[in-house]
Amino acid sequence: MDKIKDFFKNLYAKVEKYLPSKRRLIQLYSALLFNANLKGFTTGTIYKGPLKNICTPGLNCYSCPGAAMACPLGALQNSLIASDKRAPYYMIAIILLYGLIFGRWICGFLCPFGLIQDLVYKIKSPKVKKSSVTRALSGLKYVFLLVFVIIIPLMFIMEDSIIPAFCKYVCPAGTLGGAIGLLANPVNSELLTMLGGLFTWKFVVLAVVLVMSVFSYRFFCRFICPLGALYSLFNKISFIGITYDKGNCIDCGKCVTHCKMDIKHVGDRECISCGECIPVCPTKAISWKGGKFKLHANEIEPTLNVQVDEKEKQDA
Amino acid sequence: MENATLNKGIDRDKAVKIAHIVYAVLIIGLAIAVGVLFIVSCVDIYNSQDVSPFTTAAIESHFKAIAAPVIAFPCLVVVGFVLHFVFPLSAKDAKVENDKAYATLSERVDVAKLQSAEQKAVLNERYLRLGTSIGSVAIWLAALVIILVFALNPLNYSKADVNGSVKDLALIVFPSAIVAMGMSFVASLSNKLSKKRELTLLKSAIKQNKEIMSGATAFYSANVLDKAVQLVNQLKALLSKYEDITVWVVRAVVFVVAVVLLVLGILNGGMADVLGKAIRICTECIGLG
Repeated sequence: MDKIKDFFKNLYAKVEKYLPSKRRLIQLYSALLFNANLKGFTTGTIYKGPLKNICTPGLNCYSCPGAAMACPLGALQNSLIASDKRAPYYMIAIILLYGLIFGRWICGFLCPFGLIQDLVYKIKSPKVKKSSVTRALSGLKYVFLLVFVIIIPLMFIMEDSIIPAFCKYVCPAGTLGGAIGLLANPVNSELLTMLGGLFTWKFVVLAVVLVMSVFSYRFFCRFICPLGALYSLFNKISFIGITYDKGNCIDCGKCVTHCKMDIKHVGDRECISCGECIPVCPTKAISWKGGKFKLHANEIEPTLNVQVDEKEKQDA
Repeated sequence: MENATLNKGIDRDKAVKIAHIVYAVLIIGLAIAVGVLFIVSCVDIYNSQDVSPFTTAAIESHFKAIAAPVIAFPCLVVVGFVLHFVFPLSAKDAKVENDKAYATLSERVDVAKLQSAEQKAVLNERYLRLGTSIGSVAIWLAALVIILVFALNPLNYSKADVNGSVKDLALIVFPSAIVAMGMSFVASLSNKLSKKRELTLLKSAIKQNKEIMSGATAFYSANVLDKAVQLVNQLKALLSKYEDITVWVVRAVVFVVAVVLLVLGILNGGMADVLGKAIRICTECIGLG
């Protein structure tokens, strides 16, 4: 009996590092939860029930046949478009509540499109390292937020046109989940005949995002996603996320070097609270906000060791 | 005997490295090729005829034509996983970069006690960084003004040509933003190099005279600027002291505002709007326009 136990223990020890982490499991469960209308993939129709009063925290097109809830970005744009008739209190409240409770933890744990990028990034290939260039480019998502999500939909109200500009011209989640999800079903073949230049453009955007995600970690999240831009404003005050003890922190910089996002310090606007920096900290200064729940970060890239330059240690 | 074993080991390492390089080249090439082929096929279908170009037959025939590389890609991905599992490359050491050395020295060195040439050189670096940072902020503000002037001008929006209006707007907005980001990157690079130069100057000054490490009295040795730095540091210290309380106050305010807006939003029909949109196929989202 002991021999059998030992055998399974040894086997588990060998395969453990290849098992999905708790974070990955949460991502998978949430992707499944937000796309629980699996029947929609077979019938080629979208869910029309009362759950669609509520928005998912992450990016998940509501035209995806599996989508069980509404998309916060699409709903925000449509609320702004309808703002000449009624103020967009509901969507502003939803964004405030999600941001306050979760901040960009949503990006790290709950967003289905984030999960897709994480999985695509796992393809073994040379990777584009983060740098001052990528840090500077990370400001581009605020431009998408300001112009495509807020200004264009509002300005087109004056022209009596409904233009959710981000959904229409950019969102790859809509192309992947909504367009391909619906059009792949033969039941929707008549919709195929209505495709034209706009779909071609959006397909190009999707293809570029997916190819870039192979080489660059979370390409869409870092440079394009307006939802991440919105939630980043709440990172400091959110209840859930990553924080660090300034008293214990020795400014060694290992957390920043190890992190694949363009952070300047743990918990800043670029931090998606994935928790991969926690085991890297030599003084255990980094922890989860909001209590004692533990998630072991075993997503650490095995090819990257972080060493503090001995010379720098001495100089300090 | 040992040499033979060592040579065999070195040959094996070399072979593994070559295999990884070959795989890397293949995966980069194939990933980009597959992406390009999908894009070209889609554009080709769109350009093939005027009315309703996307038919099941057209899609099938175009994608059959690119089936080989598309199927080869996941096969290569599997090969990559096997290669990395069976013959992993040794871990690379990543160099940690931080400002710690500079920050420590700049706090401990009294610039006023430096010799005049050294003092001038150190202050020049500090003024350079100040100027670069201000310049970077100014460029960002200018870009923001340009973006807002164009984006908030109703004349730039035409119902008759929505796609054209958005394209023209994007052609103004994104280059402005990218120029600002480019300047931001140049500024941060310049500041990084300037800090390195200043660090070298401070270290060589310390070697000559350890008495200068009596603690910094002023950063710029200029009254107005140093008073501004002092004020900023006092504000930072104050915010830091009351950080926890401030965060909780902000949280409470945001929560109350959110709950009030949520109730108002449900009462004014905002939630019904969300439902109304979400239960219909979003033609814009799926590319039907």
